[in-house]
Amino acid sequence: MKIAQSTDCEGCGQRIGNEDFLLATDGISGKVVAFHKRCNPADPDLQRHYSVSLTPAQFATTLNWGR
Amino acid sequence: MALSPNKYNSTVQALARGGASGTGLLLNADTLKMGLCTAATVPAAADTTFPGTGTQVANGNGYTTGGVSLTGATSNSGGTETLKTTANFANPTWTASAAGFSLRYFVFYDSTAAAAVCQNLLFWDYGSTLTLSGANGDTLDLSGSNFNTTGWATLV
Repeated sequence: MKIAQSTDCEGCGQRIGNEDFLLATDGISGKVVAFHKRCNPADPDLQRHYSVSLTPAQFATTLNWGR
Repeated sequence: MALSPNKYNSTVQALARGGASGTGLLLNADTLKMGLCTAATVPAAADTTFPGTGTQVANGNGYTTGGVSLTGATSNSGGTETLKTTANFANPTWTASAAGFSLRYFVFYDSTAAAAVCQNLLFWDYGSTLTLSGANGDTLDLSGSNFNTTGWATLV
């Protein structure tokens, strides 16, 4: 996963990064290549990778006395 | 896609009880998990145990009932004026197989038996159903999750 994220999209040429992506095997070279999901490659049988980032939660406790 | 957390009512209870009583959250000892629920029902803030009113994804096809244990936690705390604890975990991942599965909610909870009265901590809403194809071996990778608590005392 991390390797694919540091490679370039075969569609737009930009880094895959922390986005949903798809993997495909080049029928000629046999090399596995990656596409951004948003670049929408035509083959529907591609393996899809969904990357979801969960933002942190902050909690605070306040203790009051002397009231 | 970045998702914002939703808190359960029991979250603050878990934090307030801490680990000493055996019924609260102890980041460095409890078994913390990330479970998945479908879009069938919406998790309620009043839920105290997983999945509560949520509908957990069925076992199999790449999902195991209860979800995945969060591992590789690193935590730190420091300072005497501001007490802060942060826990960061290795990314939980799933790979669909066979018929695959669909989900909508990610639920972060404490599965330690003694914490059953305040098990649920946070949930995130994907916003729509996410379907993972088993035929293609689709994968899901959660990142960026962490859990911060900050406590301080004030004189009023």
